[in-house]
Amino acid sequence: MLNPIEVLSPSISDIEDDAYSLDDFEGVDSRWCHRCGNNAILTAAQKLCAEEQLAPEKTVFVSGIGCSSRLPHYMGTYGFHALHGRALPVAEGIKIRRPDLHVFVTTGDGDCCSIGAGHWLHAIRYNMNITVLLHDNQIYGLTKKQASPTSPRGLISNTSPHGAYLEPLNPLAATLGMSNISFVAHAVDWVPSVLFDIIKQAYHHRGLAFVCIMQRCPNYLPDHFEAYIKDRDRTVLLTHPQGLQVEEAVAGRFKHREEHDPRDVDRARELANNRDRVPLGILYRNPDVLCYEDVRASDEHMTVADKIAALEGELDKFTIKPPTKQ
Amino acid sequence: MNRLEERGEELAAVRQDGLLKQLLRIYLSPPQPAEEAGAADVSNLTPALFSAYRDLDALRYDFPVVLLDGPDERVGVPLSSLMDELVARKVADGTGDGRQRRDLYKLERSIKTLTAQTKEQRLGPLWRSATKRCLAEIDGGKRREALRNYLRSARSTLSQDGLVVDCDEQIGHKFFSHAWTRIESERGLQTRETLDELIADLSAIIDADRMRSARATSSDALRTAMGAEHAGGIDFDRLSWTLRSSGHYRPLKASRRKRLRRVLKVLKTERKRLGSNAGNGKSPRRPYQPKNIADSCVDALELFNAELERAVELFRAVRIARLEVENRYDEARHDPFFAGFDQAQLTTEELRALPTVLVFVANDSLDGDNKAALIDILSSDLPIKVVLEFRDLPDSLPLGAGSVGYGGWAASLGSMTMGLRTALVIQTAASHLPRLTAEIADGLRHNGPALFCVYTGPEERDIQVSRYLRCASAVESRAFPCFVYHPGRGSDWAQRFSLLGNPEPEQPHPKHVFNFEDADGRERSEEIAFTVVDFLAMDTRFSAQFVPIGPEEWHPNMIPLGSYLGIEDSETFGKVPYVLMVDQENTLHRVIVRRGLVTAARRCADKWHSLQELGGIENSHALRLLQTERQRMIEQTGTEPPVASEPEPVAEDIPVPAAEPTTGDEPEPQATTAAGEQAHIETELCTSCDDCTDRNSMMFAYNDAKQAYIKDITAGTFRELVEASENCPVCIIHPGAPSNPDELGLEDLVRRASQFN
Repeated sequence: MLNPIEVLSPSISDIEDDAYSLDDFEGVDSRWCHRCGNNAILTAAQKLCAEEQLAPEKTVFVSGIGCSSRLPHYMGTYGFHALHGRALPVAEGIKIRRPDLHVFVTTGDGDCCSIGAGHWLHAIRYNMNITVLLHDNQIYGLTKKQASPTSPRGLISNTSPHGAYLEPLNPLAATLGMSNISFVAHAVDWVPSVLFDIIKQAYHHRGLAFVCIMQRCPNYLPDHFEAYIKDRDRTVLLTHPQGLQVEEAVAGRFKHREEHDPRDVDRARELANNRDRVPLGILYRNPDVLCYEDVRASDEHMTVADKIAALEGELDKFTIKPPTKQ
Repeated sequence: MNRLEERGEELAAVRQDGLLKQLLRIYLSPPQPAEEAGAADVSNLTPALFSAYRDLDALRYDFPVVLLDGPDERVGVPLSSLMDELVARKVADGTGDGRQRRDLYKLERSIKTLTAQTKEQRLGPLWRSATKRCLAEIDGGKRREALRNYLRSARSTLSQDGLVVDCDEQIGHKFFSHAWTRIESERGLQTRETLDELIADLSAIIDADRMRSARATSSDALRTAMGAEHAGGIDFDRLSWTLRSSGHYRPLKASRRKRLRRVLKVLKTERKRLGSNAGNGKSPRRPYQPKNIADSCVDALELFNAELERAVELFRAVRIARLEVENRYDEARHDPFFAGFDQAQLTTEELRALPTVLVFVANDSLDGDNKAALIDILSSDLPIKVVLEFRDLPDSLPLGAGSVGYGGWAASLGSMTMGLRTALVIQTAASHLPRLTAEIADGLRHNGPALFCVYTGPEERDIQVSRYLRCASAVESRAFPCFVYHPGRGSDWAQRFSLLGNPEPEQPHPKHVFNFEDADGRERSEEIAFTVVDFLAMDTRFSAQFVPIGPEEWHPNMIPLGSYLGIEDSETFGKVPYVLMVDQENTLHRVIVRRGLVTAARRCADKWHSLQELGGIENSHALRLLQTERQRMIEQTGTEPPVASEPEPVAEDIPVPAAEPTTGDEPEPQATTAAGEQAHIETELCTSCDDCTDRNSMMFAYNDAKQAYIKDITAGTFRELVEASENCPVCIIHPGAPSNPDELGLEDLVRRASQFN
């Protein structure tokens, strides 16, 4: 049998404008603190959706727990505010069953690199076609200033009043050391045009695109990234004909620029480990890495009735049923 | 091989093909009683092209319609058009960006939903209720307040108001009553102005006579008129003598005075009937409400005759009044003329000023007397406007007899009336009323009779799809095509007749691209003609004429009905026509159409072709003449005349593109301060943190990419600018120098600003 999916007629048109604007991707008013760096990431995500004309009903942002994980509420798309650390497996579940959806994950340094670290490792290995945005503010903001795995050694916080004892976990270096990596990039929220370009490249990459974003927390670590913001000599801009290409008006602001081949994983690891001068751009990209859904996605078609029945079946597992009459 | 031999081979092929034989049997044979009983399956199917219109709430179309009050010249406008106009005006004044535009469209959708629920309401209350609904959906308080203010300002921009009506069973009545009342009120207003002028002039003559009379100039009358306070200071006897002895006063003749009073009474009676738009303390506002509405043609004629008698009396009074005002009334000459004044004396202008009569009749309620009265009206010069509502189109349907009749004389009344040449005719369906508003208003203003044939669809219980779709499909399928015949427009058919409102009028059937998925999930598309069979598919009386065929029985000789109707009869042998239909699950079905319906479709196409010819499309006379001329040229020159081709595009001067209109939100050139240093923001580095825009939303704003710029440097103080710079997390606001040298604490501010310049 054939299923009609769409009929067009000149006499009746859709109620909304044909083209989506940035406003179409705005959700409820943001509750982040004033001047929070998350705003820049939110705007970049909304701008990407508008520029790529992603249908809001075909786009889903998945998050775990934390300040950054409130982002799906502020998007005018579908969203899934999942359990702490579980954004990645939820996103993978969505992607494998609904490959037609554009799936994004927004997660924080606690959500991804602490409680969700196990999922992070395997999500990278599974390399499903998902864009992951790691908001790394190096502190737990939602719970009011506790040290996170990426907090630098010596950082004073409520849980480390004498300063953090250990060297921080480096999400970039850690990811570049995992198996099956296919896209790793680093951005900062205070250079929004480059942040947008990187997220855009990540979206177009087929496979798991991992974008680590240094994100300011003006409330609990107000001066933490000042050195990088005010002194642009502490940033190196990575460009390449097959990688990121930045307009000269923006690129000219950076004294240190490097043409970095995104296939060069060794140089990528060197750049990732240099904390004195943070890299800004795509460190690694390999579009030839196998995607999990390419080998494991089901080709079984389900009707609406099948889906409802399956969902009801799952929910029924949690139902307390009255005793049946004998 | 000749055609007969070919046919023989085709016949042999059909005989050997069992499946085709079975399909042909279904197509060619009338439905059997048993099949009719089991035909309910098809009633769940709708034409495939309707699958996109299941949820009309989510679509914009010509309904609901706002029946506008004056002074807007249009009598009815689709709500969607009104909102589009509003959006355009808001964009023009810089307050219609993406979100605001979307808010207005959401409001429109809400009004639409409320209209469907509440039936009849004016736009004002609906707007308020819809605003409440939209506000209830907003979470953020700030955003809610902004939306409330925006919608309030949008409502004040949209000045129009009127009743909002949906495409329901009463739409014909509501639409024409409103349009007719508006036009009759305009007519009444013109008459009222004429009467006011004449009443004032006649009153002046009578008052002047009275003021100069012996009674009015007596010393007692003067004393009373001047009041007691002047009793000692004025010699009223002397004043009376002076007034009486000055000038050459000749009192009005008694017969003239009597005539003037009689005429004035007639004019005032009529004037009172025409109401008053401006009230005062004594008499409230009382707008004119025309009442000549009838529900049968016989009553309409009676109403008009009564109107005519009153009009004769009125226009006699008007003519006498004009002569009196100009002092030209000659009793010897005019008295006999006005004694014999009757309707035959009325001029064209006077007839034009006559109130018209509006009559609503349904095609199934036209009994013998009404039929005769209708023909009388349509063949007369009387300004009677007949709205003939069709609830059903096939007037005689011999179902089950092996053939299907389609259409009756009433369904063709519009075409028939054009032959009478005096009546204006407009044929349309209820769905298309908003598109023919201007033509309908013209028809109601027309001096003579007018016939409006409107298909409004069956009763609610007999409608499977929405009434709007049902009516629209009557036009789309050519079952009830739109046309306008205006006898007052020029002297030939090209000027008088128009196929306005029909989709693709040059084609036998409108065609649409239909997109669907095949069994492998691939997107496919097919062009489908929408024919009268699709229209009849929604009528349960014809269910037995449709037979769904499963994919396992599909045969290469099955062809879409649109294609089948386009081929010669001789080529249809061995072929089975089908239409595409969908069920509630959006599953596509091929449905064989029995021969009876195909015959009906051919007859309908023939009727449509006749209208096309009248409209100058595929006109047989013109084609024949063209062929004759072509033949003559071949005989004279021995060569085939060249076929007219599309003219080469003429090279034109490349126009200089106009500047893009500004929406008002674009970044302005950076503001220059008095000292010459520019206050500016490095917009491309803005992280959209809301700090500056929350600080002063008049001074700072976001551009389309949600990055900040200085919108209006004068909308805040230098202090605000400096504080915004100090608080910007990425230090991209540069305050420049102050523009107001009198601002308090300027020395300190300049010092602080220097860190960011």
